Amino acid sequence: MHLSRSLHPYLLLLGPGLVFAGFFVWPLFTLTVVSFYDYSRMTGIVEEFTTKNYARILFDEYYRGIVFQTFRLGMITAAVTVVIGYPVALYLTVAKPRARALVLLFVLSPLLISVIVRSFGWVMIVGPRGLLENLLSFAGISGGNLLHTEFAVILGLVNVLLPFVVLSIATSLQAVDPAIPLAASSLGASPFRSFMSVTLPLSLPGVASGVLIAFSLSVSTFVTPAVLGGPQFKVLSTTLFQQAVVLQNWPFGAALAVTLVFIVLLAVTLQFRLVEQGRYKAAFR
Amino acid sequence: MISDRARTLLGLYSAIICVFALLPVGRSWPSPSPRRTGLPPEKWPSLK
Repeated sequence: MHLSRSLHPYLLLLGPGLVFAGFFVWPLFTLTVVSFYDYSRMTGIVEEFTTKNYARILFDEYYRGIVFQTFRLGMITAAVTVVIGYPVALYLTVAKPRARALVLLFVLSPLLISVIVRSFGWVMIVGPRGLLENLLSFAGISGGNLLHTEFAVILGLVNVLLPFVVLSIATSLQAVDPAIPLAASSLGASPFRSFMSVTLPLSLPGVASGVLIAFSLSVSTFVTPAVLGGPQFKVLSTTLFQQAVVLQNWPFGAALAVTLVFIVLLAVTLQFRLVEQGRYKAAFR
Repeated sequence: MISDRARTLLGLYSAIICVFALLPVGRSWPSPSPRRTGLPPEKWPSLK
């Protein structure tokens, strides 16, 4: 039998598609099903339909606070990472090849080390009797112990996510035709003006995808809030680990996981709306 | 496009960010074990 040519692309997709369906879509589906089950402390999972797990997340002050804290962490981390990373990305596009290779190497090298090791590295710096506390007390200032604060978690996350954001912004900056800012200069714009009204708007798609990467990775991260935030700092990932693994309440843990997936999906949709649909509108207003 | 001075400033900034990125990777500040400082246990720093 002869397959029509138009079927070939789908045949190529078959392998990855099956893996994706079997190891991602199906577990996510069962997770969603489990999140609607009931739970009893005596008998464990009760296979009866209930929406009380979601009601608990939505209406319980404590869990709503955790969802809010997760959102807050993601947004602050994304904002700080973009503000810190943008100048580096800009430098990568204007630097001489040698300097660019060097900076790129150093920006990327932390990715070679596991997030866990880096989080413990931050414990050594911001923790009790750490570098920061020692330096500050040398200057006569107290309060250098920042371990188990939101600040420490954001610091650790910004450090981990910086390479992703720098690369994503640098890619979109490199795609800007150098003739366009040159044209702006030839029309009398100052370097600052040509950057603000030409280069920056053209790089916004990269900024948006950088924000998306930083946001979705930081709301779903587990190690950094667990190590640097301590037991008092609750986000969705640490809470769902506690519910599912420590308290064995799988239905509620599943509901928290589905909420987390929903938050990330929301961010992806928003990014798609902003960037893919309004791409040229935003760039050439 | 971008002036030489702006590029130098950006380069300096990038170098600082590189140090920030590598800060927790290198050998960290020696944080001596409380045992080795010779202080009695009641003077050991609290972990809180």
